[in-house]
Formats: sequence, C-alpha cells, structure tokens
Amino acid sequence: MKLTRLLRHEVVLCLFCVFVVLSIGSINPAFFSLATIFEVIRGAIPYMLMGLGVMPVMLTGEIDISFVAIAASASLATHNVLIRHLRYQGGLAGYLLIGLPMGAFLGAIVGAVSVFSGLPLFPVSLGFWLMLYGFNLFFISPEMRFDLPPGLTGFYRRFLVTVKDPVVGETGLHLAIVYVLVVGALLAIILRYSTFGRGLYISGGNKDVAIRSGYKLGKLLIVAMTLNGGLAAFAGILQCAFKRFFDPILFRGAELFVIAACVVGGVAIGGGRGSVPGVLAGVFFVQLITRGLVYLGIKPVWHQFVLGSILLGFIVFITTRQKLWVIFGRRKR
Amino acid sequence: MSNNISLWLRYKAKLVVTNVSWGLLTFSSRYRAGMLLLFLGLTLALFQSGNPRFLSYRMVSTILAQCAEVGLMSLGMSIAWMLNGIDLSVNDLANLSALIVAMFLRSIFRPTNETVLLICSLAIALTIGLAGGALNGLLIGYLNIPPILTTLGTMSLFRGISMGLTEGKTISRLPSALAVFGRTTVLAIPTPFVILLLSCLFMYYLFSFTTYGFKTKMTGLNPKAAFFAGVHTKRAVFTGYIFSGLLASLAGIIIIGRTLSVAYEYGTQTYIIFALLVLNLAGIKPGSYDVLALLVAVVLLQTLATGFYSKFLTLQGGPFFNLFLWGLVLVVVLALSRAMERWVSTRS
Repeated sequence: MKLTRLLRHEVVLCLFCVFVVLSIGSINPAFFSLATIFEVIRGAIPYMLMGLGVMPVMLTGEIDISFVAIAASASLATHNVLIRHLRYQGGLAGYLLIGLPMGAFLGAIVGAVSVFSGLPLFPVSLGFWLMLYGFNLFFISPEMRFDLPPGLTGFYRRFLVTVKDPVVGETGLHLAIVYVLVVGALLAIILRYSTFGRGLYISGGNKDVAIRSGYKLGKLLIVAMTLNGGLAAFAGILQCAFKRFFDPILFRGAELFVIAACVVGGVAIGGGRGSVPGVLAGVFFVQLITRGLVYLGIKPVWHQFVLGSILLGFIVFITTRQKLWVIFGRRKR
Repeated sequence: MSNNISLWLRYKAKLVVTNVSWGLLTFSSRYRAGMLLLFLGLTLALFQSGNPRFLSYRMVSTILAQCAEVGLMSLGMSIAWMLNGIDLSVNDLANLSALIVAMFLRSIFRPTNETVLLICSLAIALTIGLAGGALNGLLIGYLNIPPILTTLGTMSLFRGISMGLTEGKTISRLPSALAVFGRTTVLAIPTPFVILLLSCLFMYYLFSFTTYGFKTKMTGLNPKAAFFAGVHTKRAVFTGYIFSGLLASLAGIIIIGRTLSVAYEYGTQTYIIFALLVLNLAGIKPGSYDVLALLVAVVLLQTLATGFYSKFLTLQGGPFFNLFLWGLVLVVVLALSRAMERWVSTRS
C-alpha cells in the first residue's frame, strides 16, 4: 500500500526523466547543461498548453485530434485580421485578444456537432481536422507569413534567466513558462474544486453515475472542447511567435505527439484519470527524448519510429501495470 | 365548410408526406446498396451532363482501378468496425508492406523468373500484413487496450519504420513485371478491381456462411453475451485484426503495381477518411455487414473524387479546396446518417 502510494504515476515519470537525462548525458556530456534544459522547456511550452487543453476532453473518455488544426486556423486567421485589416503594431496581447475567443469558438463548434449528432468525437474531429487545414490553405494563405508586427519580433528571446552555452549559444528560461504555470494552476483548481471539473472525472469514470448525479454529459463535453480550442489557439500563437512565422499547416502531425505525451503523463485512455502535473511531466519527458535523440546522433528520419515505439510501450506499460499491481498485492498477502 | 375541407386536405397531405418520407427512410436503411446505386446513377448523370466524355471506357476503368486501394482498406477497416473498434493503421500498413517488398526486390533478391517474382512479392507483403495485423490484434484483443489508441500508436510506428527505411525518399524503378497487379486488365476489367471483387466475395462468404463470421459478428454486437455463449472473444478480435492487416497488405501490392514506386507518405490521412466515409455510407455496424453496399459506396466515392478533382483542377489552390470539401463531406455524411438511424429507430 505504502509503495503503491509512493510510486504515483507522476513520481515514476520524474524518475524516468532523471534516468533519461543521466543515460543520454553519459553518452554525450554536452547534454548536461542548463541551456539544454531551458531549450527543452521552450520547445515544450506550446505542447504543454495543448496537452492541458486536450486533457479535459480525454478525461471524459473521448479522443480529439482537431485541436492542432484549431491552433493553426486561429493563429493564422488572427494574424491575417491584425496585419492586413487593422495594421497592428503591438505584441502578444492583441493576438490573444482575438485568437483565444476564435479558438474557443471553433472548439465549441466541434464539440457541439459531436454532441448534437450523437456521434463519437473522434470521427467528427477528424473531419474538422481536414476541413480546417484545407480552409487555412485555400481561404487564408497557402504560404508561410513572415510579416510579424514589431511588438512580436523580439518575443522569442524574452527570457527570465539568461545563460551562455558553447553548443547552443545564448539562451534562457522563457517568460512563457509563467503563462503555462498560471494556466496549469487554474486548470488544476477548476478540475479539483469545481462541479464542472468533478463532472469531467465522473463522466469518464462511470457514465451512468454521472447522469444519475445530474450532469449533462453533452454540456460537459462542449465546455471541455471550448477550453481545448482556446488553449490550442494560445499554443498556436506562442509557437508562431517562437518560430517567427505564421504557418498554414502549423502542428500538422503533432496531434499524435500531444496525445502520446498525455498518455505517457498518466491520463487514462478510457477517461476518468489524469492530472495537470502528469500532463506537464509527460510533455516534458517526450520533448526531452526528442531532443536527446539528436544528441545521441540518431538520424531525424528515425525519430518518428522511436516516438511511436515509446507511445506503444507506454500504453502497454500503463495497462499492464494495473494488472501487475494486483498480482503484486496478492503475493504480499 | 370550405375551411373543413382545407383542413382535411392539409391533414391528408401531411399524412402522405410523412408516410412517403418514412417509407424512403426505411427503404434506404434496409436496402442501402439500392439507394447507393441510385446515388451513383445520379452522380454519373450529373458529371456526364457536365462533360460528355466522362463515361468513356478509359475514364470508367481508371475509376475502377483507383477505387481498389481504398476499397481494400475500407474492407479491412469494416471488420474492425464490426468488432466495435477502428483500424487507423491500414494505410500505413499498406505502405509498409509495399515498401518492404520494394526493398527486398531491390537489395536482397530479385528473381529473374516473372512468376517467382510475383509470388515472392505477394508472399512478403502478406507476411508483413499478417505481422502488423497480429500486433494490433494482440494489443486490442488480449491486452484490452482501446482500439483508437492502439491503432494510432501502431500507425505512427509503421510510418516511423517506413520513414526510417526509405529516409523519406521515394523508391522507384521497380521491376515492370509487378505492373501485373495494377495496370493490366482481366476480361476488360482492371486487375485491381478484380482483386477487390474477389476479396469482397471472400468476405461475403466468411461473414455469411461460416461459424467464424457469425462468432465475430456476435463478439462485436455484445462481447459479454458472446463470451458466455462459448465464443473465444479474444481470439475473434485477434483474427479480425489479422484479416484487416492482410487486406491492407493486398492494397499495398496494388499500390506498387499501379505506381511502380513506393513512398512512405502515400495517401496518408485522405485514405483513412475515405474508408471512414465508406463505412458510414454503407451503414456497417456491429452485427450488420453488407458487402454489396460497401462496394457500391467505394465506387460512388471514387467517382465523386474523380469528378471533383477534374472540376477543381483548373482552380487556383484546387487541391486545398478539395481537402476542405472532403472534411466537410465527412462531417455532414456522418451527422446525416446518424440522424437517419435515430429517426428510424424512434419510429419503429
């Protein structure tokens, strides 16, 4: 009992992280530096936001993949409106002011279509995924947009702490980690203390109980999708600010990465289990491995294979671990 | 008095309208294949009126040859669908098996005899399909992992393997003898379509006349009841996914035969969406399996795709508009078919 309690999923994951850092660092000592960790964190920030967004949806037992397309659409459309029509010169605030409601609205539409037609979320979100990318490419702009406003051009290097590194160059802990922490804290409070948050857990854990206790499952899903869309738009805008261009096919293919990171972070596949620290640690872990593969000298074409096997391995590990604990407990008695 | 008559007329008219629409809906839900054939005729007439050369032999045979890949993949996915699951890895498994055949012929062994070459490549592809399907079946059937997540994982695994093996490049210059699978005709019907027809016949036989098919249907409909009736439900799921993998690898062979080249990204995303559309149009559900409707739905979709493609080819950014359109079509078709099902079930 004590051991199982001590070895919570988040703790196990942190141990895994330490193990990965140590093993990669022992092969290539250049990996052991503050700069690497800061770079990993900066790379992980958009994915952390998307992971936090998709977690509430996964808690209800549904799987969504449209959030990446929502991120791309909302960020590109916001950019288009601000630059072409309003001749905007400022920074992040204007983007968030327009982009977040847009993303939330798109998410709500996906959720509403799924709820009102009575279909599972996955096929609906697959359709929206294709539709939104097609919309981006055809209606807004088929090419990347490098015309950032002056307020946003310097954003990618707004660091809290700056370090100098012989390999990476000058880098630091990016300011946006504060946003992630604030969003994560708010989400954790909502999930833990509000009736909405408890409803998400119940509806994933046991649908009948959720209905009997008066929750409207459809409403829960729509609100979760709204949250998901808003956070995805936030992530899209941040990623574009980091990369210094707006991309019509932003994050295409990254949906798998985020869902894999959530699963690694302990979000139960059937819903009902998952936590904010788990998701953050999961995204960090997967990002750490992706960056570590570069340091290990593995060719980029094999990265997808390694990530796919890690995802599968973790799925198997998580599902069989519960069975293993049962066997373990019986033996002790 | 006149008021009474008009009321009566209105009542009668309403009755007729509801009865006719109700009849149409029940007809369409019972005789899917017939309704889809009707749709197919309508679309053909529409495209024919727009372009008089649409119904030429060349065009029709192109459409039939093209629909074999999607048809085989959706046939495979239909088994997973009947088992209350989904198989998202079909497309990447097809690419992977095609790729391994290509790599084998290129660098390990290239038989000089044509028959040996064909048999060899078919055997390799089917082995890869069997292995991939077995992996899916093992994880879903025996370890009870949800199908969406498992097949998402295996999808990225298969794509990762093919990406790593090809280093992101297209493999071309394969022996032209392989074109037998894709570019020839049998009795004026393109060979890929013949392969699709044969597989459909086999599936029809399997799910209509064998105990295995019946057990699989039962497992999909109600796993618990099937288990208590003595069906090895785990084994049924396992073999179901193996069949799905085998059909996917057949699609891979056709891809090689048609294009004589292999790319790791061939048809990713669109084929899966096509297969989902086909399954929904054909009304395949756990427990109900209609191969004829599936076949007609595949041909219908391919006709639509070809027609749209030739329509938007001249438009600037036309392929992008096609993406948008297919996403929209998927959502609308899914929602409509679901609404129809609900309406029918509430009336009866």
